[in-house]
Amino acid sequence: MFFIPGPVIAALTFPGVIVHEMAHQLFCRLFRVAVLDVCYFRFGNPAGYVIHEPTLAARQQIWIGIGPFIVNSILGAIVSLPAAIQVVQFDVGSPLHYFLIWLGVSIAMHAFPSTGDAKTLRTAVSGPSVSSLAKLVAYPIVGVIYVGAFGSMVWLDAVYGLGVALATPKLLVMLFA
Amino acid sequence: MAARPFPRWIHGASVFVAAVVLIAVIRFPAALSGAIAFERGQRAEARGSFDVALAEYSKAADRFPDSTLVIARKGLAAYHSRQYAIAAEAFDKIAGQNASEGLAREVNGAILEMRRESSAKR
Repeated sequence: MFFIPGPVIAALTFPGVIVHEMAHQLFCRLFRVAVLDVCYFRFGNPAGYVIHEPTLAARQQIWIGIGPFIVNSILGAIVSLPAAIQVVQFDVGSPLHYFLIWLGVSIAMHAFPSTGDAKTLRTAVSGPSVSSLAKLVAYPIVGVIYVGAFGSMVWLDAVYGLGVALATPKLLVMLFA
Repeated sequence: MAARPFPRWIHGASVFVAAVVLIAVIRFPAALSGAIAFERGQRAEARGSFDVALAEYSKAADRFPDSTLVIARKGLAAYHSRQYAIAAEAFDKIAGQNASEGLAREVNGAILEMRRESSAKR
């Protein structure tokens, strides 16, 4: 296991950070939650952030928190889809294909919400006004987010990014063959 | 506030990425059909239907004419279905190319066997 500082990884995969923050902002917009400040990318920790007003319902905070997981996963798969077959299976990729693979993996590996996202979500759903049902739904999600966030220390995010970006075309082929 | 706009550079980057993806997506159906043909070829080869495998690998080779793996499997399917001219043509095309150890061993074995049969006929 080798250690690469987070800011270096973030710099090498900066499109994923940008899409991650865009996804938070997009879900804020969908739920009409005011966004106070956005940083799409910077050299630091965290590499990006979205500051928004407190949400009125826990449901909104859940969606805003997991928004990047949905957006980054889908977009990462779509971006790398056309290139993965050539590069991975048949080793006949062009520079355009390698660019798309880098872009797709970068986007998909930033799908996991951060520990900051998990903390915000946990705070939002732990209040007394939140129903038991919402807590029942939210707490496992918070747990999974923490696992994902800490898993990034052992390259879980990279494994996930590679899996989404490179395995999706293989699954399509298996499905249609 | 809720509709805080995305900055212009985000729009610009999105348009660039969308254009690149569009170009690649246009080419995707051909790549997918080639990969499907290859997968079908592998399945046919596994159940010993080498004629079917050869037909499927030929379709895949039309899509990926520079892939050593595809051409090698096509050659091996042709060899197993005793269509030696097609096999020899395929093996000639990938001579000197890098391949996995297992694939190289299979191809070399087939070439040796074809040579042995050819000299036995004489």
